[in-house]
Amino acid sequence: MRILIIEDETRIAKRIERMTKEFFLNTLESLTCVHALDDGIEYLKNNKLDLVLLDLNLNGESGFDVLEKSVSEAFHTIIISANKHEALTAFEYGVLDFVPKPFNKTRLEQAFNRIVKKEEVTTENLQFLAVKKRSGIQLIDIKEVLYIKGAGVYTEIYLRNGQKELHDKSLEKLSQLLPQTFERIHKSYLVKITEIKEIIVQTGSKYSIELKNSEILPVGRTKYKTLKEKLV
Amino acid sequence: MKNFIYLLSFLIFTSCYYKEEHEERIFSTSKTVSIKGDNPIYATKNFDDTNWNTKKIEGNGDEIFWSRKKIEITQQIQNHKVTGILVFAFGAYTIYWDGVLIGKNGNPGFESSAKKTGSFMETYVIPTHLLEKGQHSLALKRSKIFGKDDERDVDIYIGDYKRLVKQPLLNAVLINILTGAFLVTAIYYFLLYINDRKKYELLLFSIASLLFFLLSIMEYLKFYMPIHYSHFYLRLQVIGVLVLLISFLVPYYFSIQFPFKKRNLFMWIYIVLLLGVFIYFTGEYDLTALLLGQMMWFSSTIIIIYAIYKKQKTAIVILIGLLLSFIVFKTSIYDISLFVSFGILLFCMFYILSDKLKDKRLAFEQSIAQSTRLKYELLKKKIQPHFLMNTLTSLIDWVEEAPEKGVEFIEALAEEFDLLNQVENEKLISISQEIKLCKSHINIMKYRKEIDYIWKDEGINESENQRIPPAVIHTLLENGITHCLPLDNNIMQFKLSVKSSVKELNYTFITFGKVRSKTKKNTGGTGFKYIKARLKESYGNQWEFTSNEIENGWKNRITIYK
Repeated sequence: MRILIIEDETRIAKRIERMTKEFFLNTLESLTCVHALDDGIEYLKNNKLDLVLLDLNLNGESGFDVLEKSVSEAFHTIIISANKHEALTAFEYGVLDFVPKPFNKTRLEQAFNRIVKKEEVTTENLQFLAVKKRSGIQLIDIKEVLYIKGAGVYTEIYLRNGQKELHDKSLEKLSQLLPQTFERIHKSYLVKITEIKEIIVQTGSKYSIELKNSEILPVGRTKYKTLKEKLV
Repeated sequence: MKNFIYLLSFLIFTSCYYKEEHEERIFSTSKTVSIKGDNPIYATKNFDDTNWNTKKIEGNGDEIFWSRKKIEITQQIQNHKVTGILVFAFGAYTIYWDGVLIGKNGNPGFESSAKKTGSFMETYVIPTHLLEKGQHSLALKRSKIFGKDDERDVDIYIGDYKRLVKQPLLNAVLINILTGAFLVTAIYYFLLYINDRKKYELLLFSIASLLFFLLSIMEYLKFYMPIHYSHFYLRLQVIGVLVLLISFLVPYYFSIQFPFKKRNLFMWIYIVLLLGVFIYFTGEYDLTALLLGQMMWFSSTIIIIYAIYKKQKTAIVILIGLLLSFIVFKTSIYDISLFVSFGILLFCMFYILSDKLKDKRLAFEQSIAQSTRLKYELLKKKIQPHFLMNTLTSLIDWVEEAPEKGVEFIEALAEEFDLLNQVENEKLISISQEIKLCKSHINIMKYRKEIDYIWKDEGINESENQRIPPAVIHTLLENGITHCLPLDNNIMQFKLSVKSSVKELNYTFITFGKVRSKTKKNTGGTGFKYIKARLKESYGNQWEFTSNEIENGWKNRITIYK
């Protein structure tokens, strides 16, 4: 685990640091703590990470700029913030969890467990997927998303308008964030259930689905059963 | 309000079209001729007065002299109509129509020993049998001991008696309704002024109303109160002075309500011109009033047009009022024009006043709302989640890790809340109280940030009145903590210097530290807004606030002008 903490309150930063160490123990590869946004952004540029713990209000500046950048990256983001009213927005952007201050060890560990145990977030709040473009971060409304295809460490997001966007997060991580309307139908595919027209059963227990736009996607043998249940 | 004004102006305006029932002139008259001496034969109808003097005769003490006037009745008068003669004559006299005594005004020949009785203007009944079409004579047996130099010619008017007596009274009644309104307005606004002495314009408006009231009373007094001929000019002089005062006051009032550069110069020139006209035309009463009225109108119009040019609110309505008063002035007879145009002017003044008072009330209400908002913001400083939750999180950590320190932290927190409670309702607090507030905040932040904060101050003097709106320095301190990093030895220092002189009070607050993210300018956001709003609340525009980066820190400067 490579973790970055962005927190301007020294005492709180130390607390998070301590609890993180206690939780991850020897699985922790690196743990860095910065006190300012600029330092955080700089660190993000130059280092590979698995998790960012971010305070949204740093030295009087809003952390949403970093948040946008952070959620478009391959790693997960957990917000630790005093402003609870920003939680919904944070989830809309695609954070793994929002830990309100003041927090205790149990609550922080609950957030960490989402990563370790690959628990799915049960919220339906995700509204956007932040993708990196040459012009900067672009927010894609998930209403526009038909399905997502895993392509190694990153993913391809297929949109209603026929376009395709690349996302740095793995299919695994996205499936943790996306609402339950998205179903894993194959080791490489996440599909929005409402976009499925029908399941096609082919000879030799080969399954596939046809989308409303006539595209055909493969269905994994193990996924067929749950998919069928959900569609009925 | 505007609609109301238009309606009222319309009503005032329409009153100008009210036409009196026209009465045809039924007589013509010759010049007055006079002779010294006393002879009953002078009264007779056909007495030959051709060798009498057409020049005015000056009475000499109680000496009797006679005046005669030839009158021709040009139309046959209906029998049943009582006809009267209105006589304007100075002096005490008995009056004869065709040799018949028809009335007595005062006591001719005994003025020095009797009371001043009689009026300069009197109406008598002419016997109906002496009213046939043709030549008639009017003879006055007179004496005149007052007003030697300023005798007017004997003037008469013949017409329906009831009308002669009633009509002026009727006019006076109508005018007195307006007059009453002027008086009530004057009293009401004077009382308002008594209660709020700062509102000088209330006093001006009250005086203007009072002057209008006095002017109307004086103008119409002659119709219901006998004025002895010796007081005739006194009344005109009083009216003259009243018109002079009004002619000054109205433009002055406008200039106060719509201030402009060189106002004083403008008003002084105007005063000199007014006085010049007043003195130059002494003795020509109606002409003086007319000229002064026109000067008043002209100067007011200049002020108002300038106000319109400067886009002053309500000025356009006033201009309409002025134009209206000008039209009335030009289209109606003297007595009506005077009151209607003055009435319109007063209404204009009233309109400005009510509008400005409304503005002031709104501003006052806004200031109350603003004060409440600032109080709320002061309280919010301590309950806004960023401060509170971060503090509590640190607190939990201290309690878990070092319980004793945790207790100290709680005590520091309690102190800050306590101090804040003490000042929450104040608009201004002493600087020492403010410093306490800052120090307690530092105490809390020390536990949160684990930085050595050092506080220094100089120039604090309890005996001087060094005051400041609550949490202003505190806000600067918060900004310092947020936007600066400690120096290398983990120390951050704050220094407050207070300097007070006769003219100003000066607070300089410096944070010594490394300024974060140099690319982003410190605009201060809500913190600066709070400081500025607080300073404005207590000092209006008499303050200055600067905030800028210096070497090794950040410098804020608040200057309050006394």
